[in-house]
Amino acid sequence: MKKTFLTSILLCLFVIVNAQSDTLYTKKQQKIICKIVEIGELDIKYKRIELLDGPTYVINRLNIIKYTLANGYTEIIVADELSIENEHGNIIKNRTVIKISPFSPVNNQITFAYEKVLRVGTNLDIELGYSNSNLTKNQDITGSMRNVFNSGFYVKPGVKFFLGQDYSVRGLKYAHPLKGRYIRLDLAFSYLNYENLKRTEPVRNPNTPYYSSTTYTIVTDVQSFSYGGFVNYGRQFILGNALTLEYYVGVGFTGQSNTYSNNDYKKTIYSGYNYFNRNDDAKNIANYHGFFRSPNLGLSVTGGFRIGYILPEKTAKNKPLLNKTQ
Amino acid sequence: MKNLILMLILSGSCALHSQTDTLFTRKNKVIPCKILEIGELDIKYTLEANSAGPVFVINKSAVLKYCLSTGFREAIVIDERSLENQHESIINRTKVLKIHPFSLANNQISFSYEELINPDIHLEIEAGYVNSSLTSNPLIQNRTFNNDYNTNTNSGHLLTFDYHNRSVFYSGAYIKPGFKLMVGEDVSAKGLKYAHGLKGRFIRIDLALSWLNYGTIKRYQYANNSITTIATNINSFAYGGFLNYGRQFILGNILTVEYFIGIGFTAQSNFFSNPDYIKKDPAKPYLDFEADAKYISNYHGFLRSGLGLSATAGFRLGYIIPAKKHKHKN
Repeated sequence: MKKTFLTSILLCLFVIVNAQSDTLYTKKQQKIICKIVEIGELDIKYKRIELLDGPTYVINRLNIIKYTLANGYTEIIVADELSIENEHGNIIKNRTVIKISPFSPVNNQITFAYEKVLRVGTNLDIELGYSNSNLTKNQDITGSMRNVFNSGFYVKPGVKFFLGQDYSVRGLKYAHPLKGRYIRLDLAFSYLNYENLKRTEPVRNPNTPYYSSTTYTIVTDVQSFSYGGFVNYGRQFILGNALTLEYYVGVGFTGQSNTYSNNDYKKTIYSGYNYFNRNDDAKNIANYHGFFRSPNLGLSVTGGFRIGYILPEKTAKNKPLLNKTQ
Repeated sequence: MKNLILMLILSGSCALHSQTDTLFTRKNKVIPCKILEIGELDIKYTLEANSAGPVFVINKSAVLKYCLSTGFREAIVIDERSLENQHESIINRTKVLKIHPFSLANNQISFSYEELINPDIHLEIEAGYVNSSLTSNPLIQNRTFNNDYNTNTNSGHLLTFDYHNRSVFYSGAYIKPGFKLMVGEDVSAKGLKYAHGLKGRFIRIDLALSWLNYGTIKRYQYANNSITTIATNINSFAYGGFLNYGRQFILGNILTVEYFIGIGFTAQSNFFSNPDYIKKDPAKPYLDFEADAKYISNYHGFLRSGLGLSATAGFRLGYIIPAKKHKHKN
């Protein structure tokens, strides 16, 4: 009986207090019981109901869904449709992207990438690719190893650093942690396997320096590894709060290591006759699919165009209640 | 446990100032005051000791927390997307040590050091070591018009190769001290400021001094039906000044990345260890053997044309050196 009575009194008090106060409903599902002091074009000023002689609080109008005044007047806040202040507000917590490179089959490869915001301004980016010379009829640029079937893969893990602005001004902030110009520092590892690489040579007469018209063929597989690092410059856009679009170019250095299944392939058969010296054909491989490599210098370039899908944020198990008050 | 201690400290510090509001700044200052307004960007207050005095406005991001006289307290969380204080944690770091990751492609190893004199003017020194053996296929061959005795023509031989097509070893060093002048913005607005002293577009004015030492360079001379080989070393100096335009970025508050291009004028002095090398050949007096060094174009810190007009460019990655900690913390 006593308990019910106390509850009733508290409820009445709550109703009386609410009836004499204004209410703000925020987009974060908060209900703020207050005395609204000023409703501006950009901000709303209010005082907490329990602190009417306390400080005035200022809240961005964009963060408010609606307000109700003590006299019962209610207004729903409609955001300016041309405003870009909170352009990506709906996806601000979505910080992971899965990407594809739509033009990668042109280079006989299929490429995917994954990006995740580590902290605002610094993102992890991993690109993976599978290459197969049968994907398209276009053969890649591999000089003497042209038209030889090859397949492989590459991986490029890296860190994206967003460039921000050279200047600072009050209230300036990133529109979204996935959007903007960046420098990406990444490592690159590429593996290619060339199958049945053939070399036909004339048979030499053992007693003379001359060679006969009969030939023989040496066949080998070649496994080529390339590894190095790149500095990339790029820019990423957000399309319709669902997709990302990105381009980048990069330059770096790479090393190379080649393994022949048949070591006879790279042997100099006719010592003294340098024009038969086939040595290491694989050292001229330039297209490692994740990047292009200049054979002698190791200087390498890369570039890309990627379209991504922004993965929705995992929903929290316990949703905040709408009537949560502040 | 940590949170409990923090809460106790917070409650304690609030209790101490229970009659007034209190601001706790990130610089560990405690301000007893009457808070008038808590905005999105600022907090307005009057001092407790002078409540009829002026209203003070403090940047919200400079405040750690506040306590009201009622006991209500709130910690201020800085917006993670804010660019206003993007480099706040390294704002006192003013020195950078840099490398040129692609310098090896030009047979050189380059370093540089940058230090802020003030946010508009920076001191910068670049130094490089040159050695033609670093890579076998450098990006830019050191090309010169070496007189070819046999054809009597300026055939455009590479100076780095002598007449037997053997590479001529050379090594050297260069230094480029200069000043970076930050360009800033074309527009001005209230509150607009540099994000960090090390970041932005710049014009750099620098001096350049380069020294190259070429190993044995040989030429033939016919005399009395016999061939004489004349060998020499060449010490070549080039010196001048450059005007550069560039831009520097800060990556993750740790690294800098920078590019620049520049143009300038340089002069050249060459010294032949064997004076006979540059003597005229009586049989062919029209040949100028001094020209072997005159047309050195790649001084590694810059490229030089025969006119003296020179160009330079660079791409550098830097490490922002942490500031020395003060002995006595506030």
